Order: sequence, then C-alpha cells, then structure tokens
Amino acid sequence: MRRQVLSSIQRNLARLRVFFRLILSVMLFTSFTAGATDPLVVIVHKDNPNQQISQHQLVDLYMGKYTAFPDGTLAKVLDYEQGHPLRTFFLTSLTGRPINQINAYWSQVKFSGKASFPQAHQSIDAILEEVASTPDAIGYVPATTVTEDVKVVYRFVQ
Amino acid sequence: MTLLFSVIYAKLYYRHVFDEELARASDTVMQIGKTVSSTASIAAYLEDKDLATEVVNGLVSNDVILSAALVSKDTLLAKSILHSGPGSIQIELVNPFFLSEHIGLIHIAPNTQIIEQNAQNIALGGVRTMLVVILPIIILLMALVYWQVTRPLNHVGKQLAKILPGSAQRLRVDKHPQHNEIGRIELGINTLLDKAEVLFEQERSLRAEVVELEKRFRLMFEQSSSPTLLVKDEGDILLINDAAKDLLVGMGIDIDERFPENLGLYCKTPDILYTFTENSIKQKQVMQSEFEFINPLTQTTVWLSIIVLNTLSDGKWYFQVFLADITLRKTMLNQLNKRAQRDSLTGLYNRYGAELMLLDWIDNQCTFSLLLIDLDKFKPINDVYGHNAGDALLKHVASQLSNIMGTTDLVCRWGGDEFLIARMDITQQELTRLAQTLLEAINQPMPFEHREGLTELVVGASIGIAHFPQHAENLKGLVECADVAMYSIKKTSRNNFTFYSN
Repeated sequence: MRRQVLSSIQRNLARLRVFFRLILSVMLFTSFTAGATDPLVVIVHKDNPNQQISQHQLVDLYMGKYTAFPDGTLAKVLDYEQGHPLRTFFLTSLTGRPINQINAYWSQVKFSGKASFPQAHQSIDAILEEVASTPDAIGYVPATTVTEDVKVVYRFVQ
Repeated sequence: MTLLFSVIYAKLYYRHVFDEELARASDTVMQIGKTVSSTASIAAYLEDKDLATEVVNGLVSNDVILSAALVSKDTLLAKSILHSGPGSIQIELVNPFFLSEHIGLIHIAPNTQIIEQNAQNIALGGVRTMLVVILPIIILLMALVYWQVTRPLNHVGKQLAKILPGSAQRLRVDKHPQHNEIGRIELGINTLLDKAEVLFEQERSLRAEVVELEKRFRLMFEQSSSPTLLVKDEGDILLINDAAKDLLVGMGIDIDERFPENLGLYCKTPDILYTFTENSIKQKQVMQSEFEFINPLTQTTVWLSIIVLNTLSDGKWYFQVFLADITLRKTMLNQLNKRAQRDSLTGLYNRYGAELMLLDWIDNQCTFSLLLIDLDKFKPINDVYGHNAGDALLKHVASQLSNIMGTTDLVCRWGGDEFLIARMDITQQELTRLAQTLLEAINQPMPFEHREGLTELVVGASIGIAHFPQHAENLKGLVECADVAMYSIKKTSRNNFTFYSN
C-alpha cells in the first residue's frame, strides 16, 4: 500500500520533472531570443578536485594567460564561437568590458602565439557533453541546464 | 644701453623658448608612452616577450626616445640595445581586466641630446628672427637718439659747464627753439640763468649791506668804552669787548671761566651776586646792582655796577652784561656819607649818623639803653676862654667818652654841648656803674694854655637814661624820655644821672 503510494508519487514527480524540463527549455529559448538572461555558471568535470574558482582565475583562463586550475593541473578551456550571445554575455560580465574591446585584445594577441585560445564550441549541449566527459575541461552554461555529470565552480551574482 | 637690453632680452627669450621646447619634448615622450601603454599592458599581462619587443621597437623608432624597456612584475620582457638601467620616464602598466592591479612598467629614456639640440635650434632660430627684426630698429633708434637727443644734450651740457651762475653768460639757442623739446629746455635753462643772475645780484648787495652793518656793530661793540659781555645762559662767555677785557683782567678775573662764577671768586658777597644773576635769568628782566670786589693783585677794593639784560635769539636765551667800574664814585660817596654822619670837630657820630644807627638797632629789635649827656657850665667856659677853649674841651670830653666805650657802642655829639651814648643789652647795675665812670671821666680837668698862662678847665654833666623798648616804641619818644630824665637832673643836683620813670 505504502509502496504503491510512493511509486505513484515518484511517477508523478517524474512527470512533473519532464513537464518542468519542457517548460524550462521553452523559457530558455524564449529568453535567448528575447535577450533576457538566465544566470550563467562555470562548470567542470564532477570529479575535478577544484571546488571553487575565483573571478580573477577565470579571467586568466579565458583571456589566455594561464591554462591551469588553481591546484596546478592543466585546464582545457572551452568557449562558444565568436558572436555567440552566451560568449558575449559571459565575457562582458566576467571582465566588465565591452565585447569589441575583448575582440580587439584577442586580435592583438593572436599573432604573438604566447596566449592559449579556448576551444570554440557551437552549443550548450556540446559544452555540457565535453565537460562531462573530460576531467580537465572547464566551460560555462546557463544555470538551468546544469546536469548531475558536471560540477559548478562559479556563479555569477545577479 | 639699448644693445645691452636687447641682448638680455634675446637671452631671456632664448631661455624661455628652450625651456618650452624641452617641456614639449618630454610631453611628447610621455604621450608616446601613453599611446603604447594599452598594448604594453597586454604584453605585461601575458608576459609576452614578442609583443613587448614590438612595443619597445615602436617606442625607439621615435627619434626623441633614446632607449626603452618593458618590465612585468618580476621579469624584463624586452629592452632596446642602448637601454641601461631605468629610464628617466616611467609609465605604470595595469592589468587590462583589473585596473587596480599593477603588473609592470615601461621605462623610457628620452634622447636628451636630440631634444636639446632641437630645442636649441628652435630657440636660436627664434632669437635670430627676433634680432633680424629688432637690431635694425635698435640701430635706427640709436642713431636717431644720438642725432636728435644725445648730441644736442651733450652740447647743452658742455655749454652749461662753462657758464658761471650769476654771470651774464647764456646758452646759444637755435632759430626756432619752440619746435623741439631740447630747444624748450635750453630756453628754460636761460630763464633760470636770468633769475639766478638777478638773485645773485640781490644776494651780493645784501651781503655787502650785512658786512657793512656788521662792521659798524663790531666797531660799536669792540671799541665801546663801556665794558660789555654776551653770555650764553649756561654761563659761557661768547663775546667780550676790549673794555670789558681790560677791566676784568685788571681785576685778576679769568675771562675764560664761566660767568658769574669767575667774578664771584673775588666778590665780597658772592651769594648775593649769584642770586642776582639767577633772578635775572628767572624773571627775564633787566637787573642792576652794585658789588664790591677785592682785586687780588693790588688788594684794593673795586666796585662794579652790573646790569644784566636777557635776550632771546633763535629760541635760545643769552644775557648781555654791562659792567661799569664805579670804585671812584663809590669811595667818594662813602667819604661823603662819613662826612655827613660824623661831627667834624670831635670825629664822633653827629646827630644824623647816630639816628641812622639807632634806627637800624630799632629795626633789628635790639634792646639798648640811651644816655643823654648834657655838659654843665660849658657856656661860661666858651664865654670866658673863647671858642678855642670850648672846642678843645669838647674834643677832650669826646676822647674820654670814646676811651670808655667799646666799638659796638654808639658815641655821638648830639648837639652843641650834648653827647649821646647807647649800649645794647645792659643791666641796670652795669648802667649805674657806667654812668658813674662816665661822670668821672667827664670831670677829669683838662689843662689849657691861654694868654694868661696855663689853667685847668673842668666841666660836669647831667645824664638822663632811657631804655628801649621799655620806655618808648620809637627813637623820637626814647630821646624825649632821656631828655626828660636829663632835665630833672639839670634842675636839681647837676653832675649826676637818673633813669627815666613815668
């Protein structure tokens, strides 16, 4: 009897979850098209020993100064392609500078070969997949899309 | 002068332009540095030596920059060949994403040689341009000034140097002096010379007048037979004429000493003399007095009349002192006085002399007694033996009285055969004794030779005595009292004395 009740609850919960997923994905889609933002989070592989990464460390990683986590292990920095709204949003909120200045920075750095460029990906899912499967990867996705296979190490304060 | 000024101005201008150019050059260096600083910041952030080298090369390609280096927090990223040590200009580099974070420096050494060379060139160019413009103007001005001002002024100056003020000499003036300033100055100077000549003339005549007057005054003062001195109020003798010199030197007085102390030395009453001059100074009025001096050279008495006159001149007080030797007049007067006060027969005081002395005693409130002596039976002697006998007898009595009385007493021939004696502070007892003594003396017979041979003349005397201030308050009353007492004796016993009693 109790089991029946529990399973029915679980079933209902699963249904609810699916429903919410749907709703959320719709909301996300609408939000990106409308330009309203879902807070971004920075994620790593769930087994990554680093629990938290500071804003300064993130800037150094994404601007090509370092390719290592705070604990010294090498990092594989993942990014979206140039022009992707998430990239624009992420980089401007992280550095507090307009995107054209950041692009100018990269164009100056491009020829020196000293800086390391993040790997460009096309979609959130691609990032999620890459981070979930690569122990030393780091990337960022909207907070709502985070799965159990990844670990959040930085949140943007709204 | 103008040349010096323009040289100084050129120097100042050069200095100013040079400094300005230097400042501008260092500003330029600074601006270039600022221009590359954003790229340099990226290079320092990434510690990107290639980018840093690019920046440094870009900096050094400017000719105002000698050398440069780019340093991140702990490493030298790039430096130019000539770079040695930190440059004179440093620009801080910050993290491109965290502006508060200092991540490195650009060192820039400006090419001071080139900068200074440039600045010098620009400044020199400026000065040159200025001189090209200014020098001809200066030269033209100097020439103009020389011809129009300096030369005419020198000419005027030379002429002026030859001109004697007060003489009839004048400056030579052009035909139209009113047309330029120098001409007007010349006219002005000539006017001044005219006035000077007039003034000099006046001055000369005035001076001549003054000299003439002074001569006269000097003559009057110097040659005056009246001894005169001019004394400053402290007592220094300023002027002294010959008469005064002769008089004072003859009296043994030092004329170089101060007045009146030099006179006071030989004055018999110096205190009175000093008080007299002091009063004259205090009261600022004419004072006249006579003083007795002892001439130390001859030990004789000299009487001077001294007149002191105060005069104020230029706010200072002086006094004029007029001296006169009145010794002769004074001795004559003394003799006359004596003669007036003495009886020529006996040499005793006469009534006038006695009255003077007694009045003096009364004024000084002395107590004294008066003895009025009237000779008894004197008239018959005169009648029998003649006036000579009478005179001789009077002389005899007088000398007897004088022998008894002291110098402080008064002995006087009061009238024909009346004598009067006065003595101060005498008791009744003493008076009685004195009266007896006097009687005895008067009774002494006097040998007298006449035609019938030698005889002795004898007289008696009636004496009346009165006391002052007991019996009367004035001389007239006192004499009357003595007279009353004397008559009472004459009427009764004769050759006796009595005291007045009311």
